[in-house]
Amino acid sequence: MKNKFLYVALTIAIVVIIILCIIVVCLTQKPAVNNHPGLSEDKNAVDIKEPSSNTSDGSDGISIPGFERMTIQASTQNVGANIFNPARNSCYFVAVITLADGREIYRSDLIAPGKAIYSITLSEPLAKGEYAAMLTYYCYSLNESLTPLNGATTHFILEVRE
Amino acid sequence: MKRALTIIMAFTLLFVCLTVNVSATTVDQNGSSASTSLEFSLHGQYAITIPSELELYSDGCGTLQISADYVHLTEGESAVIKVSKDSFGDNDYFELHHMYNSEGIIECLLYASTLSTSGFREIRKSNTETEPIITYTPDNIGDIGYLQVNALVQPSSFAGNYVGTLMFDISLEIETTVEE
Repeated sequence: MKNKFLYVALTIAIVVIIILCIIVVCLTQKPAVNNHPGLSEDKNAVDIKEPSSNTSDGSDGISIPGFERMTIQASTQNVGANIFNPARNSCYFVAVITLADGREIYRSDLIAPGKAIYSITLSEPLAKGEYAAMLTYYCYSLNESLTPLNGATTHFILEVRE
Repeated sequence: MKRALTIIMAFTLLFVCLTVNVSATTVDQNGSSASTSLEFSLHGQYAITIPSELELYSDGCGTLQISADYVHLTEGESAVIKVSKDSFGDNDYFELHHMYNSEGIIECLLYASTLSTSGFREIRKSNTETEPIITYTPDNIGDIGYLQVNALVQPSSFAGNYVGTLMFDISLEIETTVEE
């Protein structure tokens, strides 16, 4: 009788733990975007490695990050990068890198807030040199309608090394 | 009884371990020596906050704010924020488009200032390069740029909702001195 009671208690405890795990997983999942053909969350986007502590919270605006220079490897299409959507933003980013001559060399899918892309595939390998480049952030609402929001273009030097 | 308690505690410990965040900085201490691994992450040189949406009041006017989240500039460097030429239509105006009627267009005038109520300069497609909304230097990181939007609503304008998106242009500029 005593053993039977223990087994029942043990079963209940395991079920409760499993339910808690499922709840935690569900709460940490972002809503799926499935009604807007052509735009889906970027599969290469991962959690930002070290969230910045010096961005403010609570405003309605969109935080656009920028940098002076990006360095990548020559003659290869798979290069390292650091394109991210600050966690405080309430919108998706689509990031597009364009060279000054108008050539689009990279376009991401949707990057959710708090996500970053550390490895990108260029549309073509670049030769060694310095290029004037632009990173344009097209912004979309987080709801299923993906309403276009204001965006920004940041200018930087793309340094391509051997 | 003891075995059951052990199993429950093991599951509880496993659950707790799975939900604990892992710290990026680790400190290992062994006897008298200690080592610390430090990870440095660079999150860009600057972050500028732009308005997400444009909301006009019944008089067809609205004001947007541009501010700096953080800007790491050295002497001689500046971050310049302009309205992108891509924001404008074929003419010299920023345009709002009717949500359902492609013929419904409302032209808007844009004015920029670093003061909330005065000093506004008109911004058109033809002068975006020479008329920034705000220029950040190491001395004015806390300033705010104001962009006023005035919709030129005509009696013939279609009734309904109009939408439009502004694109901003952000660049770092370095002052160069020419030696004679």
